[in-house]
Parts: sequence; structure tokens; C-alpha cells
Amino acid sequence: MSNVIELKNVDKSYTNSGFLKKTTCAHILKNISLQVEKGTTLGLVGESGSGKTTTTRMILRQEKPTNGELFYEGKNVEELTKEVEEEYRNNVQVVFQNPYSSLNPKMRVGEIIAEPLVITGKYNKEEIKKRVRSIMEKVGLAQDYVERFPSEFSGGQRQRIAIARALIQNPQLVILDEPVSALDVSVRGQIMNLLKRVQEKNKTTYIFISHDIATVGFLSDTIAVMYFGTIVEYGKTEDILENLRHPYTEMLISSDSVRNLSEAEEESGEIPSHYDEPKGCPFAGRCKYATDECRNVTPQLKDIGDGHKVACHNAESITLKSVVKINRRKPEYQI
Amino acid sequence: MNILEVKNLVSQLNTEDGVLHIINDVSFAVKEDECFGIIGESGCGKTMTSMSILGYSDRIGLKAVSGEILFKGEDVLKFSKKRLREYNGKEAAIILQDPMQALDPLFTIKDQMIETIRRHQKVSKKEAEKIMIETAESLSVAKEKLNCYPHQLSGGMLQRIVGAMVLSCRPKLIIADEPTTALDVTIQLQYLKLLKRLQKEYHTALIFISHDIKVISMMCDRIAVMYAGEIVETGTRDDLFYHPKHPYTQALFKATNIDGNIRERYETIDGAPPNLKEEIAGCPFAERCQYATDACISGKPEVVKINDEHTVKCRRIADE
Amino acid sequence: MRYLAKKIIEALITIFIVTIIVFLAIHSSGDPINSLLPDSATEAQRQELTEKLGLDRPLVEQYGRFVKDALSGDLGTSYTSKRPVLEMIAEKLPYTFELALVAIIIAFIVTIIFGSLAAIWKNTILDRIILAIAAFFKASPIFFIAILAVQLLGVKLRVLPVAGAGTPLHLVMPAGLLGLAIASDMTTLLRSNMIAVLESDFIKFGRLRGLPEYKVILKHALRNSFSSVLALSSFIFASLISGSIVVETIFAWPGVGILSYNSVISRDFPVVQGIVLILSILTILLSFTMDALLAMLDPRIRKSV
Repeated sequence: MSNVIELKNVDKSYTNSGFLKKTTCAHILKNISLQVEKGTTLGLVGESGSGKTTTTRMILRQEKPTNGELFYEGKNVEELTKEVEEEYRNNVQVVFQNPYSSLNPKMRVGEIIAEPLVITGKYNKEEIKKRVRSIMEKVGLAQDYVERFPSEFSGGQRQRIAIARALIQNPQLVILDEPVSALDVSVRGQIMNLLKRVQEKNKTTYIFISHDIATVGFLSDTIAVMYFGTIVEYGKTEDILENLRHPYTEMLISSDSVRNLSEAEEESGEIPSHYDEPKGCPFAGRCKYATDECRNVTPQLKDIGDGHKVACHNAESITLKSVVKINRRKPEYQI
Repeated sequence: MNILEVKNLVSQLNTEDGVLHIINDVSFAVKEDECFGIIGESGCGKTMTSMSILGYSDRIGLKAVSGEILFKGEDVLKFSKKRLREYNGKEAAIILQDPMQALDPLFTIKDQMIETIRRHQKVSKKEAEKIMIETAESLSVAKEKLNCYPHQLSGGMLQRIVGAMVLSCRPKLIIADEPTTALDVTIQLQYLKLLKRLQKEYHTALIFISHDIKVISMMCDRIAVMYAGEIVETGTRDDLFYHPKHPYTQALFKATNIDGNIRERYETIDGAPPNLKEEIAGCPFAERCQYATDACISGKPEVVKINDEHTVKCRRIADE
Repeated sequence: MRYLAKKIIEALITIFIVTIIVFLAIHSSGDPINSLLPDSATEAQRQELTEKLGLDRPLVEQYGRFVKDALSGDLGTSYTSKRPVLEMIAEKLPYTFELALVAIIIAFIVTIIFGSLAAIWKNTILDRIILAIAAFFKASPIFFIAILAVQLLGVKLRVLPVAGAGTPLHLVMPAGLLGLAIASDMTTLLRSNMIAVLESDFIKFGRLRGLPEYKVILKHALRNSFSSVLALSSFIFASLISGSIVVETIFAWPGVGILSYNSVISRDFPVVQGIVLILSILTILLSFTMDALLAMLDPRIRKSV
């Protein structure tokens, strides 16, 4: 199985310097390495400040890494020929979080979905029409929506339009940046099911980004948990959710599954500031298992078996609670 | 004793596109010191209801067509401007969803807190400062943060500060409108636990509005489920969790994936909420409901009482 | 502190560039020799004057001389009046300054009052009247309004004097008109900003905390709406300068405006250069003050540098 995208030892720092100013440096990403295999989904889980947005921008080539390399199908993106670069742009698409700002309100639905094809200049009007119709059907949008404007639709339907636009070129990779976080609960499932169906049918590769570990788990084959610009845990979905090894992963999962407030902690701290980086492990300030070693030495990602990697000094010694069970049986009925 | 009683409230919203029937016969009561939850998805009318309770409807073009909102027996809808000024902040207050937007970016936290305290209490600047520091401490906000500007602080910290501002005036009723939705998930729980503790300490009634069932179930004793401007079911937390009666409530619970386990497919509710431009003659959920009959579509169901606290508005349940 | 130093250096560079541009512009606009000498002058006389004024030297040298002299306070001598430029400007500047200052004060007062009222009472008759008046002032060239005012208030009603600078009453029309002209843009900007600010959550939260309406508007809404009006300040100052040239000419107000008009017409290079230099320094100072005011007003700007 080949990798569609690979990031190798990527760093990203923003330096704020200038005339008569003290130079400050924010290390947004530190030594990120990840791969996505064709036809699978890589889930990126993290909250604000984790670096997941910057990683996305890196893959979309809106930003260049300060150090490290990005590979597309085994080739370094900096060395791509013009044709391959164009291929890259057509093959890596994105669906954003906010369905209200990602669609041009002055364009009709049909035009929005057709736009990626129109830009390549390679298709004639008839072909474009045909493809728009076909993708709308696949995505669950009625044909007479082509002439309407986005403002007439709900959040869930707009996301469908955004997904249709992303899929119309049959891209190799779709980056899904919190695609359902802004949607109502009853609609989320519709979109998640749709994304899964599309992947099963077309073998599309996804990078799915979210702060909600349950939704990430639904769609992902591998998961990377990010905190403060580093990957703290990485591995197959089953390993991460059922056999988690990093205290932050435990905090994320338990925050999601707490039933009773008495189980929760009133003080679980906050993410540190990029301008005041702590020594040692970035999570040490909030970690209930932290030792002196944690506070002084930054842990590196270590493979603890079968591709499951953790960046924690105590990975072997602590036992963590897992409350998630994976049950991949189809439900008997749909409401 | 009920601190708030909303009785048969019907309200319409004037928008550029026309009139929206946004609240259609909503009734519920909130007891003193209780935490009452309202669950609903976007557009169901929960935020508009909270604006009506706070007397803010006029400012947003919301007109109450009929019904009353009784706060300690007085009808809020009939409050004069003068009465409203006393009511807002001192007797009833709100915590908004996005704390970064809720504060004026040009003034320090201290400035805005003292402004609020001195508005409702005749105290000197020094005394106001003391009150501010005490309240802030009870929400674990360090003194130094008070001299900062809003953009310098994180979302979690700001929401605590907003909480402190609201609590410093000791209101009898606080409405929290999706207070944790804009916060990181690992911060949410801290905040909820804090809010719950303070609600008890300060003896306030809390109306907690959210679309997140898990959050509401942790916070609230009694919960109302809202759909398309109507309350379809009310009950205690146990009533709703173990014996949900309304098809929408049941569907919502299934779609929420409450146990957090990963399945092969999500449960969904097909279709979308109705367009509120027209008045709906029958049950608003009828077009998406698997049990709907012609009677459901043509006329509104009555409220059925299942036990002391548990009521449902559903024809199918009434027929049982 | 660092913010200030950065701004000062930017200012100096801008002044340099502006003087170069004006120098080149004025020198390519025509030969002053023709307006200084009568048509009957001979070629030799023209040549003599050209050499005397140094107009035959290469441009770079002429500019260099200008800068060198300027740095030591000598802005040259007027071709037409033979007086030192600096002296000419110095005696006229206070009048223009008085005019501009009063105009700005009037503009700010009008903007704050009417911009806020229009925003608070948006889409009512009051709002529409204010917008209509603003549109009238925006669309009409200032000389048109000035002439109207002169006809109405000066000639027909005889309430105000129309020329000269004797009494405070003389200031009313020129400063008033100039102020209103500038206020027209500022008012519509403040109105639209305030309408947006009044929709924001912190205003809602302020009201719902029980804050009295006057405080919500004056302390919170107004302050938040004002930053973009201040950011317009360089544009405002430019309008002031061009407006004052017209106004001073119509009302015979003895300021720098009238002086610049006359000097440009007669190609009096030294005077024009001197005025541009002084005005650009003033504009920079103003822009600088406005930036400082903006930083004082908005803590987010302060912290980001």
C-alpha cells in the first residue's frame, strides 16, 4: 500500500522579528511525521493550539515547513514538475468546518460544485453538467437545487454541497477539517454516513480532523493525537481507543464519556502559551501521572509495538482507562 | 416555589424575509435553586425563548403575540423600561456562548466587572474591587488576570470571568446559553463542574440551554425538549433518559450516540426541521416521524401527563 | 516605545519621498521664467535669469541644494515676491491652522452626534434625513456649497461676513463649510460602524447586565466604532488641505491655501516646495498622532507590536 501523503520531521515556526523589536518565536509544529495510506483515513485529533490546523495548511501547501519535508506519492513536493503539481492541486481537496462561510453566497449551487472542473479548463459544458448532476445524486442533493443559492439551505445541506464540490474531480485525498462540528446532532450522522459510503465506494483517502474523538474514531483507520504542536500518540484506531497509552488521550476520551460531574476534575489546567514554552513534556502541567522526569525531559515518540507510538516517559508503567468499545455492526433500523 | 413560569408563549420574529413563527405555545416552570435544561437543535427557538425571558425581545424584533412570562409573579413582557433596567443583571442574567465576543475588547476585565458591580450595588470603588476579587477567586480566576484585556486571555478563562461578572450581582435566575460550546472539550467539564457548584452556593436558578444531551444530562435536574418552537417533552433527567416518550426525543438520543461507542453507521433522523415561515397546523415533527398519522398532521396534540414531572405532547402517547 | 521609534523613522522616509515627487512634478509643469519676465524679454535675459535662479543645473543638484538649505532652515526665496519662503509661510500658517482646527472640531462634533443618532435610529426618518444631508455634502464640490452659502447667508440674509479675517464671525462660514464637508464622510462611516457594533454580543451582554443605555452607547458602542474613523485621518487631512485651498480663495481667508494656489499658477518653485515640505511634515505629525491615539484607544493594536 502506498502513501498518498507523507510528512517527515516537519517543524513550523513563526518568528516575529523586526526593527527595534525583541525577536519572539512560536514553534507551532515540532517534528511531525505522519503518513496516510491510499484508501484509508488518518484522523487528527486535537484541541485549540494543537497544531492540527497548521498541519492541514501545510498539506494544502498554504504554508511551507520551516524544516522537514512533504511527500506526495513518494515524491518531494518541492521537486514536483509542473504537471504533477497541477495534479496535486486537483487531487487534494478540502471540506471546511463552517458551512456558512465556505460557499460563495453569490454563486448558484450548480456553479459552486462545477467550479473545480471549470478551473482546470479541460472539460466542456456538457461534460461538466453531467458530472455535476451525478455527484449531486451521490451526495443526496435534489437535482433542482442547481439553480438555488446557498442561503436557502440548512447547515447540513450546505456541507453536502461543499462535499460535492470536493469530490467532483474524484480526488485522491480529501481533507475534512471538522466537517460536522458546526452541524446539529441529528444531521451529523447523515454527513458522517455519507462520507463513509463515499470512501467505501471510491476508495478515497481522507484526513479527518476533529476535537471529537468519537467522530474521528468512526471514520479513521489510524489516529494521531496532537497536543501543543507534537504528536503524543499515534496508531491504529483500535489501539488508540481501546488500548490508549497517553494521559492526554485519556483526558480527551474521558471528557467525552463522563456521565456524572462528580467524576470530573474541577481543575484540569489549560494548554501552555507558545510564547512561554514549558520545559519537558508540554502536558506535564496538567498530567496526574507527571514525574520530575516529565517536567524536565521532553519525551520522544517511541514505538511500543505494532506501529503504536507514544510520547510519554510513563507509557509502559501506567494503566489507563478505556471506556470506548468499537462495535462495527450495522444498526437494525434507522429513525 | 417557582421563580419563573412561562405560560403559553407565542412569539413571532420579524425578519427581512418575512415573519417567522419562532415560538409556538411554549410553557414551562423553573423552581428556585433548580437547574432546568432546554435541549434543542438550531432554529428550535431556545435562544429566542431566553431573550423573551430577559425582556430583550423588542430589541431583536421579536413580538409576543400571546402568553405570559411570570418572574416571581410579575409578567416580564409587561415590564417598563425602568423595571427592565433593575431586572437585567440584578434579578436575571445571562451567560452567552462565546466569551470572547461577550466582552468589550477595548476595556480591561477589571473595568467591566466594576462597572457591573457598581451598577447594581451602591458601593465605593474600593468596595466594588473587593467584591470583584472575591467573586473572581470563587471561580479560580487569579487577581492578575483581572488587569488584562479580553483578547489576552483564553476562552476558558474568559467564560469564568463572565460567570464571575454575572454572579457578582447575585441574580435569582441565570440563563446559560450554550456556555461550553465554544470551549475546548477538556475545559468544558471543569467549567460545568464549577458552574454547578456555584449555582448551589449562590442559590440561583439556572436555565441551561444546549444542543448537547450529554452536557445537559450532567447539569440538569429537569429537562425540556424543544422542537420547531414547541416543547415536545418535559421530565426529570431519569424520565428522559430511561423512558423517553416523544419520537423526537427518542430519535435525538439515538442520533447522539450517547455511550460513545464506535459503530458501523450513525443513527440519523432523515429530513430537516420545518420552515417556520408558515404556521404549522399539526405536530411539527409529523413529517419526520415514523408513527405519524393523518390526525398528527392536521391538529396539534394535547399535553399528556405521564407522572408528576413527566409530560409529552404526542397524539400517539395520548391514544395509549 | 519601540512602536514610536518605528513610526518616526517611517515618517522621515515618507517626507523625503514626498518632497522628491513634488520637486519632480513642479519642475516638469512648466518654466517659471516665462511668468517672471515680460514677453519682450530677450533670449540673453532669459538665459541670465535661468542661470541666476540655478534652473540650468541638473535636477539632482537642484534637489540636493534644496534639501541642504532646508535642513538649515532656509527654504529659499520666492521668485515673485522676493521674500524668504519661510517667512511667507510663517505669516500665513496661523490663519490656516485656525481654520483647520475649528473645521476639525466642528467635523468631530457633527460626526459623533449625527453619526450616532443615525445608527441608533437607523432606517427611521431621522436617519434618512441625516444620510441625505451627508450625501449632499459628499457629492457637491466644495466650491459649489461655498458659493451657495455665500449667496444665502452672506448676500441674501446678511447674517455672516463673506470675506476677510477680521472677527470670529468671519470664521463661521469657511470653517463651518470645511468642517461639514469633511464630516460627511466621517458621519456615514461612523454610522455604518456603529450599526455593526450595536449588533455585537458585548453590547447585548452589557444591556443584559443592566447597564444604562447611555453608558452602553457612549462608553462602549462609540469607542468601538471610532477606530476606523480615526484611521481615515490621513484622508481627512488631505481633504482639509485641498478644501482649504478652495475655501480660502472664495472667502479671501489669508492662509497658506491661497498662497499655494497663487504660487503654483506662477510656477514659484521655492514657495511651492516650501509649502509641500511644511504640509507633509504636518500630515506626518497628524498621522502619527492619530496612530498613537488609535493605539491608546485599542489595546489589541498596542500589544501586537
